Order: sequence, then C-alpha cells, then structure tokens
Amino acid sequence: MSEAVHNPELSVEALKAGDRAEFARFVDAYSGPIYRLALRILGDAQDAEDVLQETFIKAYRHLGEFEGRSSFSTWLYRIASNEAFMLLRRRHPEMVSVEEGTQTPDGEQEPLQIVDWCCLPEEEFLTAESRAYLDKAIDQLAPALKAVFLLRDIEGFSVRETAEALSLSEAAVKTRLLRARLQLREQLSIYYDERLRERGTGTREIHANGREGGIAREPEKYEKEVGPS
Amino acid sequence: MSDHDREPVDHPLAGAAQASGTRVAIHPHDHQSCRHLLKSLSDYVDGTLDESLCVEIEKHMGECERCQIVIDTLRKTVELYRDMAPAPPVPEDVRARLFVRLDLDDFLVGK
Ligand SMILES: [Zn+2]
Repeated sequence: MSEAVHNPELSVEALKAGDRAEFARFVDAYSGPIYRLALRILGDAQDAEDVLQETFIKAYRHLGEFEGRSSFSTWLYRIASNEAFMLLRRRHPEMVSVEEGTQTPDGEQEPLQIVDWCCLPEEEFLTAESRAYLDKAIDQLAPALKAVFLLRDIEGFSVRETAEALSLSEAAVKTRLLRARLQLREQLSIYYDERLRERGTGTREIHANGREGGIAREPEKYEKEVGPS
Repeated sequence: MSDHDREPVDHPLAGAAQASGTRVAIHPHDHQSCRHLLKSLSDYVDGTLDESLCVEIEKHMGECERCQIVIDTLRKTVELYRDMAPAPPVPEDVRARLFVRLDLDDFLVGK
C-alpha cells in the first residue's frame, strides 16, 4: 500500500556516497506523496512545487546527518512537512493556532449526523460527483488534521510512520486522526443523506427510526385536474 | 435490582427502541458511555483496539442504535477514502523543473 514508505531498492549508502543516478531514483520514488501533501496543506500549486524543491535540496545537503534512527523515508517526509508548515505560517499567519488542532483538549466533537447511508448502492459511491465531494471534504479539515489524515488514510502510512513523518507522538496522531475522520464522517453524512432522499426509498427512516418513511407526494397530480377555463 | 424498569429512561434511543418494540430499560445507559466510546472508535475501525474495549463497544452497539450508525458510517468513510487513489501524480512539468533545480536534468528521461 505505501510503497513510498517501504522502498527497499534504494541504497542509503549510495546516496551518501553521492551517486547521482541513485539520487534521481530517490527523487522519483518520494516526489508523489511529498507533492500531494504540500498541495493539500498549502492549496497552491506553486507553493507545493517550492516545498517539493526545497525538501530535496535540504535532503541532499543533510544526507550526511541521517543516522538511521528513523527510516530514511520518514526522515525525508519530516523535512517536507516542516517546509510545508513553515510556508503555511508565512502565507497564512492566522492559521498558526489552527495547526494545534481544533477541538477542546478533552472532548471530541459529538456526532451530529445520525443517518445510516451505508446501505446506498455501491454505484452511488463511484460517481464522479461523489468522488469530487470526498476530495473537497478533505480541504475543509484544519491543516494539522489534514496532514495526519492524508498520510495515514490516503497514502497508507502506519500510525508510527505518520508520527515520525510529522514529528508527532503516536498518541497525537491517533487523536488527530479520530478528529479528522469524525469530521469527514459528518460531511459525508450530509452528502449521502441527500442521495438517500433523492432515491426516495425511505430507507433512511427505516434505519434511523425503525419506521416506514413517508414518500413525498407528487403535487403535479393535483394540479393536473385544473384545466384552463 | 428490579428498580431498573420502574422509570422510563430519557435517552435519544428511547424512541427508536419503543418503535421497534424492544425494551432497553434493563441496562439504561446515558450519553456518557457514547461519549466515552467515541475516543476509541478510530482504533476500533482500524482493528487495533484492545480486546476488552472491543467487547465493550460491541455490547454498546447492540443497545444503542445511534452509536451503531456512527460506527458503521465512520468505517464506511475510512473505506471510501482508502479506496480513493492518491492523486494527482507529480505533473511532468513540475518534475522536469525539480530535476533541473537539483542538477539532475541528465536523468530526466528515465522514469
Ligand atoms: Zn451510544
């Protein structure tokens, strides 16, 4: 799943020895997740490109300092996420506090949308509109939550890899991941609830309240009788 | 012990339970446990939660339709995102400029 995290073919020794071909392969192996993370956090293609370039320039300069305490890839992602958040602070100083997370320290946001939309037919989840909505929902997350969610759930990092890549404790990763997922669940519930209503099957009511849902009457039936006089 | 079923429990569940004809008054639970379990839901859907807590959650789900729905939709949410391919790939022109910046332009062809 996360081949970028576990790329066994790259040789750290060759990189340290200045093997340029190996460095080129290294760049290709890790560019994707780094670019996507920066793009999501900064929301700007030019800024994402700057982060991408700065990350590899710094990595190249500091190769000698890599001591193998963490994996090489998480070391690289750490440089990248530092760069991205540094640039974010410069671009949007007002977001600095947001970086720490959005909720009160000891309470999670109570779930508000209680609609069972899992029963929707599979095709409903595969539409372009549905995918675009999922995509857009990520952008509503606070940057600190977004970074954790992207690495863990989209790029497929483990909790530990995510923690190392973002210089966070595993506990912090788990807390942020839960918040991100709960917030996305709220958003998806709003969207798929509408899909359920569109289908007008009443499925939602049966699931949520244990009773048959009322199907909307068709007003045109009543209007039909009124002809021009 | 038999005092339990004396008073109706004021809980959002009560309506659903009545409608489906089930009595839940034997082990009345308040919102407290829903809130308490919320913290473990991420680990639960990832399958990394302690056995004992899993049992607690599953027991609660049997009694609380609200939490059942939250957990099902949370799991589905994670699944939908997991299935989403990480996109977009690095655009060709971005990659080209990166290689130039890193003095690697002679390796630009082979990808
Ligand atoms: Zn509950």
